[in-house]
Amino acid sequence: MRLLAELVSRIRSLIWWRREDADLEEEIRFHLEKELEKNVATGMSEREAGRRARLRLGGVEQVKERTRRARGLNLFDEIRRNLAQSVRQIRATRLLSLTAILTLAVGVALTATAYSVVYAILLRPLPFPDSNRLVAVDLIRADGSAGRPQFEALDLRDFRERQRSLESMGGYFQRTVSVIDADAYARGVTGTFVTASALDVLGVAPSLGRAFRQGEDFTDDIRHAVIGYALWQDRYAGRDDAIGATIRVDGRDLEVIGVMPAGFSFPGGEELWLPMDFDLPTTERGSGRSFSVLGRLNDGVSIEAANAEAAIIAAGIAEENPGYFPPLSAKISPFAERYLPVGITRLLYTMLAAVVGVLLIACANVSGLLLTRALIRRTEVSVRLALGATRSRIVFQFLVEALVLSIVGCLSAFGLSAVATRGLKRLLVELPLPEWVDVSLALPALYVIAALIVAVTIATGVFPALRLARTDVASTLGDRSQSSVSRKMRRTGSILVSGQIALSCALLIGAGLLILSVVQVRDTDMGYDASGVLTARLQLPAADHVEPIARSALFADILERTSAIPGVSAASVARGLPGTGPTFSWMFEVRGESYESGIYPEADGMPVAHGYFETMSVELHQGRDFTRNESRFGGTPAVIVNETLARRHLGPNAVGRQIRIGGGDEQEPWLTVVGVVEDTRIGSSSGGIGMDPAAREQVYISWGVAPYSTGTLLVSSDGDPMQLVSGVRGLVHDAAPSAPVYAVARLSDVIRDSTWAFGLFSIIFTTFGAIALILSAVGLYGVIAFGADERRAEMSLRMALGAHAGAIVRLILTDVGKRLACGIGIGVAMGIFVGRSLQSVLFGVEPVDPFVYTLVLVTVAGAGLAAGILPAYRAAGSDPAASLGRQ
Amino acid sequence: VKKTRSELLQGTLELLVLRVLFVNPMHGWGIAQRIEQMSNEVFAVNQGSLYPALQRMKRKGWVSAEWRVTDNNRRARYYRLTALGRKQLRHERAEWDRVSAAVNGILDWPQGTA
Repeated sequence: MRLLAELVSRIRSLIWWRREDADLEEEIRFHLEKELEKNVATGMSEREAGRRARLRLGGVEQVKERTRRARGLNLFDEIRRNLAQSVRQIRATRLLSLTAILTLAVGVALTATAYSVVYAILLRPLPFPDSNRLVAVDLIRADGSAGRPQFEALDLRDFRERQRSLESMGGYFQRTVSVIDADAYARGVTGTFVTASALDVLGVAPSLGRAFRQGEDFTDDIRHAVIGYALWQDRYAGRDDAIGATIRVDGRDLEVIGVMPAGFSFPGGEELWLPMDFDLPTTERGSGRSFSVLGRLNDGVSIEAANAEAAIIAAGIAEENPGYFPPLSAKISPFAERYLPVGITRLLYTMLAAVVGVLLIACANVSGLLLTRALIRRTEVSVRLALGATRSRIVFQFLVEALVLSIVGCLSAFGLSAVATRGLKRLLVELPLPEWVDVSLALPALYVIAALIVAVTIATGVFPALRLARTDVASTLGDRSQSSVSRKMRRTGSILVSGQIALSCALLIGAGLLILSVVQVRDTDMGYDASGVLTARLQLPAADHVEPIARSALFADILERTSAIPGVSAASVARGLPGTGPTFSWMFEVRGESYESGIYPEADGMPVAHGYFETMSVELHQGRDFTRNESRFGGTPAVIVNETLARRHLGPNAVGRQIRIGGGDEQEPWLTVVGVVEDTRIGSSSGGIGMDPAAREQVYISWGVAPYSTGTLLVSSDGDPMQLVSGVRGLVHDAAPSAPVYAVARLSDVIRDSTWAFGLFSIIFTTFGAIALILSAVGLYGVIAFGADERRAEMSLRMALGAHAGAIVRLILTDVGKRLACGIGIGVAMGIFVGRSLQSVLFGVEPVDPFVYTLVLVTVAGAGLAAGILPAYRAAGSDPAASLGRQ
Repeated sequence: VKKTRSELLQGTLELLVLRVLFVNPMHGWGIAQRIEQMSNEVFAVNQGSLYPALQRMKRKGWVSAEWRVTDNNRRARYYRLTALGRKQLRHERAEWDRVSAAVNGILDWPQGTA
């Protein structure tokens, strides 16, 4: 009953606050009138009577306030009045408030956007059940040197039998296969060859039909295929009778036994899964038919434990097969990492760190702005304290103001980050990222960041209020400029500004290093001329040209016909695509040299046909190009090496010496070096961000070394290579109707794409750096302008006593200089740290690049001085008499 | 006649207000006057504390407030004791008696009477 009454009263007062206020007003007025009448009755003058009445009551506003509070803390009322007051305050300090709101919005939006990207690429679980247990299993060399030993069928069998930490293991590799469409046209489709266990490892079952069974894989007579959802819709219109249908893949008729669910993609973008088509009994170790391996950790087994076991097993396998392996180890890593471009993890985390830096700057800036505002208002606060406002009341008002500012800022940030994320998503489409990466605004993160920022803003907004509310009213009112409170606050402001300058320095240094890297990459002599070259992938369906000789002849025929097209200056074929990385990484052995067991040098390998160097404008330094005979399967294969390999391993008379691919494999033939060419950059092996900075050993092996059925056609012309497309397509169709031509592009575009991500990140970092610099300049301006205003009396006094305006400017700029020097000093130290952490993704730039550092130094110092010069001149230009009077 | 006035004892304001209102409903100024009269002008009511106290008592449901017209035709807010307020008065009265009896007991202790 009692509680209920109290509750009703509180709710009533919440709802009827306006009426309650009016009631109170009238009640107090009535009281004062009665008191006045009583006083008058004792013979006082009316005026004296009124004064006494008010005195007796003890401060009208205070009584009202205390009564209001007794009514039950009326939060509603309180907030309403404070909100109105805050909006008034914010309007009064429009520029400061707007800057604070914008700063918050930009800081929060940037952080949320960057986090969204990092989350999408690195943190979001893969779309497979229990994906945190999916791992990639890779063989590595025990001494940690470069080179990628790969799993072959027997290695997988041995590894699987010995290991205990994985629940299951599977292998897979991808290759473009030719599928005959319903209209009898050949189409290039990405096919993934898998061990029967691979789909089980992923934990995804076909939505229709079944997956592969043990025994259906590892035979060269494969008979089954599982198709993807898109192909099912496309080819069979989503009908159930797709199961049991026949699909012609690479000339083999396969039975469709299953359809994967919509959205299933492994390891990315394919429409077709086929059983491994190596025949296990006849597949020997060292066959070169290798694949990637994935596994699923047993429940409760850590990656570290699995790694320790894998290293021992790999070492054991290598020991038992000394002819084939250098000392081996193995690495087990989260599966998601396998498909990320090398270096992107570091870049993304660096980006996140940079963004957090910007956010810190934003926070410091807003704190500085709020501090400045508080200082501007300390007279007002003192007056209000003197008039009887309680301290908690003042603190509460500052709190509401900070709340209003931060909430408006965060709301703007929501819109801003939505736009920014969408924009970034569009840009990131170009990155070679796995299909499951889908960049979208990570709302939970945005909420967390926003909440954090609101908390920080409130903390920094209330801090000066606490200080001010504690002040001795009389001293603040009496002496405007020298109170210890404002001195302490100014010092806090100075530290904030120096911190901001330091952070922007570090960010700009990072940005500068990346930009310089991009410039270096773009300007680097690739060693070949990509401008007039057309590239196209060509796939000869294996079964249609079963005879290796026939396949080889067909390539020769196509090259012949291509060269005859008007406008074509040269044409060739290569196994890989220059600019996107080497085809192979080979161990090799030079005849006549001796090697420690298993330790052979390594080179990037690429099979190419005659005419390759002419097509690519690669200079031949010694010897000659491959001959037609060497490009034909069945002829005598030969090799051409690059300068670096010749210099490091062959000596001055390289031509005529012999090397053997495969390091110590006695069955491989000795190949004669027929030429030495200049070093070229065929790209980093990862095909990812940046390119190999150091020249690496390269071996070109003549096309005839194997009966290849796929290759990259390279055609150089004097004009726009894209004009050759229809001609090339036509002649390929004439020569081999079932062979698809795909991935047609200018070589220059291919190369640009491979450095594209690099460019993107440098743009991102530059943007962050610029934003950081602007924010810091604004912060510096605020502190300096306010400081100058504070010292106006001192300045005026100095000028009145005869100081020149120049001396005043110098005085203020010295102040600016001190803060700048302090910030830049710390910033450079931080920059060195940033540079070192970026080192692995830098190209041709040292982490401590004098040019970048000088540029950043000049920029930051310039921006800082510019921010300081305006208030300095204003102070110097003020009329001493007027400003002294104002005090 | 100059009299020394004493501040009300801490915590007694509410009890006195309840007692005054027990007679009849009254407005704030009236309550203050009544307390001073009834105490033979010994107590001076801190008027600044009166209204917050009334507000508190209203919130607790001891008194209710209503606007009425006074004898000389002016609007004033009258406070009236509720049933809950009467109960509270009895309770506080008993408490006061107990405490003052105890205090008196100590003061009237026979040995060493002042």
